[in-house]
Amino acid sequence: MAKPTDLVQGTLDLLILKTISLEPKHGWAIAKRIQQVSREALQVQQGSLYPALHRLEQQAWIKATWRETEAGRMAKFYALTAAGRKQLEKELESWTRLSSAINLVIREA
Amino acid sequence: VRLLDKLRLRLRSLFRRALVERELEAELRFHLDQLVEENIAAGLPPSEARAAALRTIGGMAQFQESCRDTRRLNLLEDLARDLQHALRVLRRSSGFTAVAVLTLALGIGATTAIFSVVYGVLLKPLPFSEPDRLVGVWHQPVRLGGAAGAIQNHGPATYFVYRDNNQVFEDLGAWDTSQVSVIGLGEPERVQALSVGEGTLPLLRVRPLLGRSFDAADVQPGGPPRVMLSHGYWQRRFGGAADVLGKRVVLDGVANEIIGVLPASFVFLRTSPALLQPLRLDRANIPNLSFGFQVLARLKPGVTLAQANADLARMIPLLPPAYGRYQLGPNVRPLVEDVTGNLDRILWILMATVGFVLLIACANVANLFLVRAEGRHRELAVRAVLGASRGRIARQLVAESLVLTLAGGLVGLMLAQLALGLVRRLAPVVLPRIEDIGIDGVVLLFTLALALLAAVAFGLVPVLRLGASNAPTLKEGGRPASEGRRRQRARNALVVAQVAMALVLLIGSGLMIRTFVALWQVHPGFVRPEAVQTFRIRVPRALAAEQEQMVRTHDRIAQRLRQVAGVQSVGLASSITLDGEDNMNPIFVEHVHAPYQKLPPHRRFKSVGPGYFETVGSHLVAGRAFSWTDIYQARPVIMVSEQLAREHWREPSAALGKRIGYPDGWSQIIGVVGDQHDDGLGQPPTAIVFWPLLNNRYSSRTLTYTIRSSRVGAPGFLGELRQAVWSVNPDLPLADVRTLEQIRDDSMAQTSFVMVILAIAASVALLLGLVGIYGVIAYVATLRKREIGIRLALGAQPGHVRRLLLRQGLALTGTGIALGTAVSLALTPVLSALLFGVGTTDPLTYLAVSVGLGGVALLATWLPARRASRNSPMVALRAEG
Repeated sequence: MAKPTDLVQGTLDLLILKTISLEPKHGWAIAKRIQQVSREALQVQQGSLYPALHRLEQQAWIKATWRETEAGRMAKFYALTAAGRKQLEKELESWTRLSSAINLVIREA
Repeated sequence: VRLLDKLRLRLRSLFRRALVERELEAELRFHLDQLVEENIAAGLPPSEARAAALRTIGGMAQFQESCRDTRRLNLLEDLARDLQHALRVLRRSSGFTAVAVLTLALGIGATTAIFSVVYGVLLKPLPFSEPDRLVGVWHQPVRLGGAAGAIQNHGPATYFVYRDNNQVFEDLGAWDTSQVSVIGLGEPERVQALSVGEGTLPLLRVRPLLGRSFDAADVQPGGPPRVMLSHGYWQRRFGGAADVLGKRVVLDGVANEIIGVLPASFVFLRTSPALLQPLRLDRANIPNLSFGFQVLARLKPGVTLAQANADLARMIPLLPPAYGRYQLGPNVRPLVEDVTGNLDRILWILMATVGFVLLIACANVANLFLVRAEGRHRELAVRAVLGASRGRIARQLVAESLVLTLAGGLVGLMLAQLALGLVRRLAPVVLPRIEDIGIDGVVLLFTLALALLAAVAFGLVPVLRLGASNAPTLKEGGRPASEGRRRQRARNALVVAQVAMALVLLIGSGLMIRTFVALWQVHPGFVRPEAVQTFRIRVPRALAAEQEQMVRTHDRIAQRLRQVAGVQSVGLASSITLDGEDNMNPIFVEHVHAPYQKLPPHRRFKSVGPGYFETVGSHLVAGRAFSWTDIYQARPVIMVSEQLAREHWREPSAALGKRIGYPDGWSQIIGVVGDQHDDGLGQPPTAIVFWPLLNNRYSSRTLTYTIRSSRVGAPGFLGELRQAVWSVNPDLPLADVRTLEQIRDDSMAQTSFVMVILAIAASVALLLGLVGIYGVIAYVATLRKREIGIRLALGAQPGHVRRLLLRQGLALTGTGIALGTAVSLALTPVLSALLFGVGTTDPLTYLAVSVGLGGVALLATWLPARRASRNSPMVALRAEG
């Protein structure tokens, strides 16, 4: 099994915010979703996921509520706040800028 | 909104920690369970699925912790953790902690105690509204001959002229104190009374609790007698009855209507009156020249003291021409100075004194910290290697000193409370507003500030050390090959400073002790004062209208007192030596002062009866004393004190037969009394004129009784005296009941107070200084153990080793003593006003204190030196790790 790519510093926040932008998810689901969508390329370590979630919550970008899962268990669901949505836009924008800049360099140089 | 949310979350994680923790655990458990399910779904057996899940997750505890980290209010929680750690560290080194806390407690306690006195007496604002605008209105003192007796107060002329013509005062209020006899409310009683003008209470913004204040009609001469009660007297004598208004009390034989009761908050400068009476001044009949009461005023808003003084200077020429002779000068000053008097100097001296003690204590603790920092070098190095940042370690060290100094402050507060008890017992005569002195909010803040300041200072000592050696390394964490010269120098400097400061305090208290002894040796004009009982009785006009009748009543009382068992003799006098009564009047000496051209010198006046000098133990140096025949026949005879006789006739005996008095009636000097130090033991003898009890120049209805008896102080004796007085008239209260010894002690109270405080401060300073020397030498001995061991092994004699250490201790002590002597020579002049019979550079005191301090310092050095030299070389060599 190939070693999953290490996440670029700071992109985890962006991924989390994006992942829960459609609907609230719990930590496990967030990790799974990132894994699936990236076709197993990105594997979020629990050791970085939960501290990041708590950090984002402290920043008041995401909001946590305890809800029942489909399987009937209680889990902590995270949802974007209004401030979080703005933050997501900002991070997306800067990510786009950064990645296109990198692409340019790679192609032209 | 986001800020609020963030705050709410932070607070939640701070205060609902258990809840947050539970949530965190539940969340992670959920994740784990999901993982397990996934593994089971992949076909693993349950137990293995779980183990695999745990493996994947890795250190659960570790990322629990990192989740916590993101939530923390770092500063606060770290502080709490640092403090906990500090407590643990300090508990482990309990010896160090105890010494440091106790030392700090002594310093902080002493400083707090004296500060609370300074604050209560000097700094606390007067309890009136807008006290900044209240002033005492005085004149520059006019000396009238003699040591005391300077005129600076007011008479009706100055009061009315200033009140009518000023442009700077909202109003002026006259006031004066007196004593009145109250009868008809249980036992007859003599109480303090305060007389006030109609403006006095309103300008102080004092509103009566019941009834009303005096109005303009009340202060007219001949108006109906009216009185206000203080809250305390109202409670004590009327049980706080609400219907007291309109009732009458008999004061000095006259029925007075009660028109008001003052609030409990009312205190008036240095007085604590039971009753208030109107100060009646007759505008239609102003005497030419008179001084006799005080005036305070409220400045108009925005007026400065300088403007007020200028305005007073402008009005002085408006006074009647007779005042021109005195060349009055204006002296408007803050009213609070009427309370504090000359105490500010003394109290600031004491404050500086305990400041020294605090500095010495701090030097000691700083030294302890330095030594400790050396010992902990290794520990700090380990922590640095394990990843603690410089800042983190510094914070930790400051937390330790914070815990120490706060503990020191707390114990110090308790010590201060004890010390204040002592101050209250020592100084009721000296300190005004003594009931205001206590540990209140301001004092607590002061103490807290002291402790915090000390904490930062001490905490920084090892931190700086930490900085000095750049990054602490484990490598050098072992044995200090050679003590850093710089560090040793810092420690030496601290010890030298301690010795110097202790010396300054010791010299100060030495000078005060010499003063006290010198005062004690002064012959005040009486002997064996402990066997003389005194009290005052006033025979009111209602009882004996005529002068002679009044004197005969006193005479009758004295005769009855003589019959009380154990009474040797009884004397009568308008005032007695050192009792603080001050009546100065001009008097002519025949053929010396040309009448009416120039005012003759003012002299202290007293009127005395037969037996007075004999009772108190004043000896006659020439002639004879008054007899009752002299008095009742109103013979023109008079006595003078030795001081006055020498001033005019050189020899006391030469004064006999000379005449003094006034051109319309001379009196012949029949006797000269040995010197009386009436203005204080430390003052030169007072020139006194003694009039016979019955005379038309200077007579008093209030006389002080002096009773010599071996039974003074015995239980029941005072009661027998009282019964004897009341057998003549049951309505005569006894006032100022005290022994002659108490009068003398009260006159020395200020000196004793300063002496005791200085002596205590100096003793503490000495003790702390010695601990400092001992500590440093002992520490040096430990550091040089290896060297000493080598020396001993190579054949050095123990005596030699001892001398080595002693020399170092003596060098420190000697430097400290030299420095302290220089500082003392510079500082003791501030004491000069308090000293008597000893100069500020008194060689004996300096020598004795230096030798004494040197001696005990030598002992403090010798003890550790001896221990070091007794170690066997092997032990000493092995001691190194």
